Amino acid sequence: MKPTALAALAAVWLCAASTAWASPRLDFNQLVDRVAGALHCRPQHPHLVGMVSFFARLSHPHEARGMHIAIFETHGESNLDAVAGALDAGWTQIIRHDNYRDHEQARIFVRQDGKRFQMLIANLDDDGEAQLVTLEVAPGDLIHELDRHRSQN
Amino acid sequence: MRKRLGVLFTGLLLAAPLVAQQPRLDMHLSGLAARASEVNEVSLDGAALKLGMAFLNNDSDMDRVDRELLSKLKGIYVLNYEFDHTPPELNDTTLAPIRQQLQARGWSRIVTSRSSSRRGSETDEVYVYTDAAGQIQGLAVISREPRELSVVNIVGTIRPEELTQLSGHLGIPKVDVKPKGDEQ
Repeated sequence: MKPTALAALAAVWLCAASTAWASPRLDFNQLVDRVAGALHCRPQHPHLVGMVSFFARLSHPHEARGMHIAIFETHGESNLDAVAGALDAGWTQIIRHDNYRDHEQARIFVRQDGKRFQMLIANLDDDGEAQLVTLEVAPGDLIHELDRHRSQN
Repeated sequence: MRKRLGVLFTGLLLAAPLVAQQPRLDMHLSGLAARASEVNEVSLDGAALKLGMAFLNNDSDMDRVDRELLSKLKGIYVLNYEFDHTPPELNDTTLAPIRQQLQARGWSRIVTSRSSSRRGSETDEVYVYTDAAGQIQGLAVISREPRELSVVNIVGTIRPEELTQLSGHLGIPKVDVKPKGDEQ
């Protein structure tokens, strides 16, 4: 391989690596700040919601782990489409639900993390309250757990 | 010669994803979502499809859905718009971008079903995408009612009759899969 080709390959690798280093994954608090900025609102009752999140993390319903919850009070015409722009890399929107009659919106995003998935659920009610929930699930474990649950019933 | 081969190889590399993506439709319908009173979109592919399967498994009606069928799928994409009043945009012109894709090589319409009720006429169209070996690699459904439109694109090995197993799940509308020409 020619030295110029080798240098070009190294430059490409360095660019890719530096992009990965430059964009570490956001933690939940950072996500909340960014979503709040996108929806032009502030998180409500952070201490109470934090306590609920803590107890939610202790239980693993259907193998879901690492649950975090945030609640926002939005003003005016909020649109959950803005949430997608507030997320860091790797998230894919899998569900969009907009009910303009009842002024309800929901978005579900997923991001793969090895064998597990991170899920982010954003919901906006007709009274302007928005909820943001993140959790981790492993599809294989989830199917196994659901099968076990079904066979017991 | 080496340069030409290089250009050819690069061209093939660039074209490969396009060829591989043929069963996948671009389902963007401009302007229609803004007119809808309810919008539902499902986009499950790759690893996210596994997660969708897990939720499908939790469905009480799951017994009807064959897991082997699900494991053969590569993607499920659904658009569903409901309207309070029939919008002028709900016409053939709006659907033309999707229909144009369905006229490409590999796609063929296998079912056209029309029915009338008090709510108006309903038209269901089912298309399949077959590869050079004659294997079905994708399926598309356009279901149109006066106040509702559903477009479904399933990528993967699926037989038309298996569509009924998925109907009613993940936003996929219930469609009668009858042979082409069996119109009412």
